[in-house]
Amino acid sequence: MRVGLPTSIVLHAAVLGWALLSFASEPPMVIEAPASDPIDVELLPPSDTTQQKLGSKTGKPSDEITRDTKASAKESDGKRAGDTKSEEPPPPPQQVPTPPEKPQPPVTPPPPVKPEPKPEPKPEPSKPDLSKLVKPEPVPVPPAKPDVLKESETAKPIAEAKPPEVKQPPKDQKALDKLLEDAKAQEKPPEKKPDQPKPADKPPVNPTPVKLASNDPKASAAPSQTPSALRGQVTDIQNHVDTGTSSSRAPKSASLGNPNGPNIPTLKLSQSELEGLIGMLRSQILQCWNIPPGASESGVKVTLNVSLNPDGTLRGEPELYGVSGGTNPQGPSIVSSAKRAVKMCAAEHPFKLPADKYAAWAENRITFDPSNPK
Amino acid sequence: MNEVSQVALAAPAASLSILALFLQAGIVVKCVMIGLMAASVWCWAIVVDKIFLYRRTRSQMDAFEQVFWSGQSLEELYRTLASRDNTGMPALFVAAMREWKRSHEGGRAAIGSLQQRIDKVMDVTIGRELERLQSKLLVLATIGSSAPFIGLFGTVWGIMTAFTSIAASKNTSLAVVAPGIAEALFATAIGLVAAIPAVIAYNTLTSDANALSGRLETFADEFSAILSRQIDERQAA
Repeated sequence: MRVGLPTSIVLHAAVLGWALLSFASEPPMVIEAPASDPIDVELLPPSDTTQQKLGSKTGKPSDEITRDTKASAKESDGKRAGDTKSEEPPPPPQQVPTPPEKPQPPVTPPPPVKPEPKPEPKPEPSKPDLSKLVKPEPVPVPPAKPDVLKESETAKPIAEAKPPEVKQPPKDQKALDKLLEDAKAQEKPPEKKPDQPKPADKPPVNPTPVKLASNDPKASAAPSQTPSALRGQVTDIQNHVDTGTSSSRAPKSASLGNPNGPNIPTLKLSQSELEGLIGMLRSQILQCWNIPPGASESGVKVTLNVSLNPDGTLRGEPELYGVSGGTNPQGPSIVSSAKRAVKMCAAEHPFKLPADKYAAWAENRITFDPSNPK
Repeated sequence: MNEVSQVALAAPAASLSILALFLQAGIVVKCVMIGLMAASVWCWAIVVDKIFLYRRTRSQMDAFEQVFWSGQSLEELYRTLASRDNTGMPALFVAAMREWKRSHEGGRAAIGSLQQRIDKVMDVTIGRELERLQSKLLVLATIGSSAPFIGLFGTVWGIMTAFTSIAASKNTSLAVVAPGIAEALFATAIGLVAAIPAVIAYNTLTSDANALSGRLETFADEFSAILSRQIDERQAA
């Protein structure tokens, strides 16, 4: 040991010293590393982009959109009359019958579901601008309402209580509808309401809020609005591409987002998932569709709003959202065949869609294209 | 962005000298490294000692056998050697001769059990010599078999901390990972550096020790035969 230990220590010291020196002089091999600049990469899950489209409460409708919607609304009224929407004559919707339920479909029914949520939230929640704008409307309304209510015994307390708010108009409409049926003599007040709101709304700023407001009851009834807004956008784009002439007025406002939809949890769905769900529903419906003979050459495309229950059954009638290439005389038959297809499908076997993503397919906009049924 | 670039530039420059590797390591890895270094030093000390010991023992045996078979009187040889502190073959010879002498002091006739006693004494001496030759070889065996595992433990621990730091910095850049892994692997390297010589030396030294002990036993048998013949002659006389 006397010899071994010192010898060993000296030996190790020598090896270590050599290693330190030799390795210390070698770092040059590392030098190349700095040459590569780190690249900044952001990873965005697809759900981010889709959620961005949902919008926020603070989002304002851009002037362009509102103008477009105004213009389109006006056009649509005219067009729809010509289009032979189906159930009700074009002129009536503007005056009195509109409030009920489906007379409006051409103008309002689609918007109620999707566009409504956005504008409504704004006036109610916070925005001073909208609230100011909207408030003027209610003012004219309340006077009319009391009269109507008093005159008609079926007055609804709710309607009275809420007159100042924007939502009242819809209720008023319902009440009006009943009232109208009860007492047609007093048709003037109801007429005034629909007429008044529109003019009043237009001057202030947004035509859409008014329409939306009038439809509130429906909107509130429909739980899932956020996904529908998304789909609205998608279909809007499709409409623009496919049928530039088609009436796409309300959908644009959908891009603002709907804060109202708290009842339905926001789903994080990627675009592909969303499209997959719509595609599933679409394929199931299209299987039931008997295309009227000659329809494929007509160039008509029908878009329906289909609202579903969580169990896959229909919630209410499928509503006509838009018809493109509507000049063709076959238009109405194609529309009715499309509606029949949805009803038949739902009646025979409820649609099979993932229940955990119900929020994404509660409201659907499905386009029937006879020339390309699949 | 700035942080990323700084890490990427700074880390590699800092990491690769051996001293830096050691200083950057965590306390556990440092302990492992220091322990392995100590084991390596101890291992080499034993190896050096054993090499010298065996060489000395071997030359001693050569010299003794030369003298022993030279025809020199065993009595004289014993007289010269008895006063020294003997090891190895001379010790064996002295032990046997001492027993022989004691049994014949006073001119008594040789006793039948003397042969057994001499054999016993030589066995004991061989065992003592063997123990001296092979002592601490077990340390080499232990280092050789456990050092890789100890180094591996240091590596695993170091990589664990490296991954922890990755998780903390939320940056998976190789530049962030590399120093930690390098220092961790350094522990395994040291473990192997200690273990490989230890294993080789253990095998070599063990075989050397066996050869030496074989030589001792052979000499013991030969010497036992000589003494046995002497005993018989004296009994006959």
